[in-house]
Formats: sequence, C-alpha cells, structure tokens
Amino acid sequence: MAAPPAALLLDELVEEILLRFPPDDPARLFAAALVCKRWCRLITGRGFRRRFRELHRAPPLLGFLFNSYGSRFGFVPTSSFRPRNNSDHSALRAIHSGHGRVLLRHWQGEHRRREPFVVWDPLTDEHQELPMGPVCPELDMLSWSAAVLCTVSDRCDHLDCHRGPFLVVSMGQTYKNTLTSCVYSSEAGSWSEPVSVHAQGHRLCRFELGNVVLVGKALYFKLFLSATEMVKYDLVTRKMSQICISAVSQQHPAVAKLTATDDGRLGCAFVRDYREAARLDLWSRKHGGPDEELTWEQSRVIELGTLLPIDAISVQPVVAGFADNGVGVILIRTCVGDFTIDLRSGTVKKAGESRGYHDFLVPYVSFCTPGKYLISF
Amino acid sequence: MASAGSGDEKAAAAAMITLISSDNEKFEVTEATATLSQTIRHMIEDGCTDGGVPLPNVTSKILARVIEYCKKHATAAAGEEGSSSSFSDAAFLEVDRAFLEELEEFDDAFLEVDRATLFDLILAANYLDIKGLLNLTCQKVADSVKGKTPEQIREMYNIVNDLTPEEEAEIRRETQWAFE
Repeated sequence: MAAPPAALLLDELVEEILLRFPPDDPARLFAAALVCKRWCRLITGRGFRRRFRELHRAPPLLGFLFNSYGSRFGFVPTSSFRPRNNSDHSALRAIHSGHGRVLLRHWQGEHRRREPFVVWDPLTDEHQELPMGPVCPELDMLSWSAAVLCTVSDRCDHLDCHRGPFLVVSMGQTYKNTLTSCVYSSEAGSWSEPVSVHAQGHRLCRFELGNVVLVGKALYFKLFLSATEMVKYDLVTRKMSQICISAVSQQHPAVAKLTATDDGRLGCAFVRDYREAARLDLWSRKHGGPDEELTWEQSRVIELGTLLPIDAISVQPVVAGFADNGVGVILIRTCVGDFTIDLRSGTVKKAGESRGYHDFLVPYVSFCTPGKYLISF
Repeated sequence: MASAGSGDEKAAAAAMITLISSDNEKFEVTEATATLSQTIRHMIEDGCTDGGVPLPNVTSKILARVIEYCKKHATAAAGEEGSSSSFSDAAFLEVDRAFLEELEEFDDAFLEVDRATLFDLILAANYLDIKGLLNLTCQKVADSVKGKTPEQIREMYNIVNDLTPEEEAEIRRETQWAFE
C-alpha cells in the first residue's frame, strides 16, 4: 500500500479538513471517526466541537417533527442525522424545540389524567420526565402553549448547550380568564409557583401550540383569532404582557407563524394567495412604539410560483414552522408535501410527504458532532 | 514572471520579490501577489527578502501553481478596491458579482488536479500561510469523502486502520444511525 499524503500525517492539517465537513451531514463526521485513531482522536478531541461551531456559525436544521393524533411523533430528516430507533412507542407529541432539546407531551386519551412534560435530547436519545407541575395544561387550561430553552445566561451562545441546564415555560389561559404561567428549571429540579394575571380588556382566544418564538430575552406566544395578538413572557422578570396589533398594521392574516429576524426583532411569516400569485410574506416588528402595542412592517416577499412545483401551490400552502437560532429556515406545508425555504440562500428543498394532521411542525436545529458523550474513549 | 500589470511601472518594478523553490527555481512576483502569503508578508516586513526568499518546503511545480492562485486573487482584490470609488453602488455590486463569479470559476478550474498535487498544495498553503488557498484545498478534500464509507475513505487516501476491533465496534454501536 502506498503511503498516505504527507498532509494527512499532520494533526493540524487533518483537522483543517475535518472542520470543513458540512454541518448538515453529520454522518460524514461519524464515518470519518471510524477511519483511524488519528481521525477519531481529532474529531472527538477537546476543542473540535468549539472550532467546528466557530467556523460554521449557524447550526443546521437536522430535521423536523410532526404529530399524528394519538400516536408518537415522527421525525423527517433534512440532513443525514437520524434519531435512534427508540423502543419506546408511547404516544408522545412534540410541542416545541429550542436549543437542542425537544419538549414532548402525552396525548390525552379517553381517561384524562395528569401527565408530566418530557424533555428529549435527540442526539443522545435521553428522555427526561419532568416532575408534575402545579398546573396541568389539558385539565386546568382553556388553551395553552409551552416552550423549552436553555437557561437564560449571557455566557451561552446557544450553539452547543443541549446538555446544559434548561427551562420549560408553560403558559395558558385558565377558566377564570387569567393568564397563568409556570416555569420548570432543571437546575432547581422543580416548577415555580404559578403566576397569574387577569386577561385584560377582552377575552383571549386559543393559544397556538408550537407558535412561539424567542426574541432577545422574551418568549412570544401567538394566539389564534384574537384581538390580543400574542403574550410576551419576559424571561428575566418572569412577567407576562398582552400585545395587541396596532390598527395600522392589521393587514396580515391570523395564520401567521412567529419568527425572529436576523437583527433580533420579532417577525412573522405567512403565505398569501395560491397558484401563480402565491407568495411568502415576511413581516417584522417596527422599531419604537409602546411595548404592549405592535406595528408590523413588511420586510420581504418571496414569490412561491417560481420556487415551488405548480401542483404544490394549487392550494394555498401554510407556513408550518420556523427554524430559529440563526438558521433562518421556513417550513412550508403544501398539498403535495413539506418544503424547506432557506431565507439566506433562497434554496428550496422538498423534505417529505406532508404527514401528521397539525399545521405545525417542530424544527430541530443543532450541531451534531461525535464527542465524548457519544464515543467514550 | 509578468507583473500584475496595472499602475506605475516603476513602483511595480520596485515591489518585485524573488521566490526560490526547493529545486532552486526562481520566480519573480509582485509584492501584492507575494503578500497573500502571511509568511512572506512577515519576511518582507522584517526586511529579509534581499537576494530572494528561499522556500525549501515547496517544489517549483507546486510553487508555480501557488503563484498562479495568488496572482489571480491579488488582481481580484486590487480590482475590487479600485472599482469601489468609481462606480455607483449598483454598478459596483454588478462588478463585485462578476469578480466573484470569475474567481469561483478560476478556483474550480484550479482544483482540477490529481490527489497528490492537491495535498502538496495543502502543505504549501499551510507553510506559506495563505488562508484562502488552505480553505479551498481543504474544502475540496472534505467534499471528496461525501457519501463514502470509512473503508472507502481509507482506500482513497492510503490510510491504515489502526483502530482495534473493540474500538471500532464501540464507535459503531454509539453512532449506529449514521450508517443506516
């Protein structure tokens, strides 16, 4: 056998090559880890993950989860990542995903009972059942939503924190017309006492599951068909506030999906019209103005007629998900399947058949490199 | 070697640098071309380029390719700088885009080399500290293993598998999904 190229005998240069493997093809790094001791040592070594993140900056969309009534959620890959084939078939549905974790909940069957939230790490396949909270969303709430995220900290860039401490924020409207929130902290290992405020002005309407976005240090929970557009949850003060849309910007339909813009503003995305006229509208919150009032301004329009196949826009598609964390990918559900639209590059890819019945998909975004937690030597 | 061409001939002539390959071949290049290499830039700054810059780690064959790369990229950089003041924004963007496209085409054609040359270019880019060239060549190797099994990667690059069967089995067990 001929000798390997001299460049492959230098750790420094092998690492330069390995660092340039694309983040959305984690299988390539895993194959490389099996090539020889040097490659394995470099890939799993200290600092590789950090340098890999620093070079690629935005984590990839590894796939997304869909729900079907009464059965376990499914995973549609948009990369070479596959979650492990778990033997657990319990009927869990995906509620939200943030900072490398997925928030799951049991479907309520005929026998309605209190069930805990489950936090799943798709990379390690660890399921963590949280203790029962003081409020059961399905039994104590008219409507509710919830989100999982890394514990708020200025030190974390949220690119590789799926093993660190996390928060679960559960939010809903009670039968007494109050807004009530509870927070689970993995560091404390317990739920906070519920905090309630009277729902102001008008009756709230349905919280939309999965339609929640993190902007700065606040979560925004979208409501459906309501004069109150959304509820802001401030992660630092733990205060809730209702946000209404200002009269001048009430031109967008109620089915918008909340997004975050590159410059750290709240945004929303929705599809207008169908056939040749179909277009993806992207709006962002106008600077200034009072905190409890919202004025949208249109930031971008993407014609879908040229991007999607003609049969996909014969019926108006919906925006089913938004991959956050600097990724900027919109998930669009059409009558012929699900598509991803990368807002940066403008690339459109078909991701699979539209499975599951909900019009919301849960994008899963994370770096995935073999590390000590996956390979133990 | 010809100079990059533009500007005051005297100044260009004054700023020529001689690079000497390991097999003692001499290459005359402009300072703008040479300083794409951080290693050579530092030598120039330290004033130790009189009588030529010996590069004992780079053969004439590889050095000629490296210079070809640096010339192209130095010209592109100079062109961009020159154009920024004399065009409107739209025209500038247009020129910018054309430059980038041309550079991309050049890079693609530049990478059409055999494997041995590619790795020699990586060594040279590393030794001469030319970030763009190192990125380009390493990316080419990273792209070349797309969809390949560990066995195929070893075969491509003559790498001996020194993992014990136990270690291999453990990695496979932990990362089963990647091989489905």
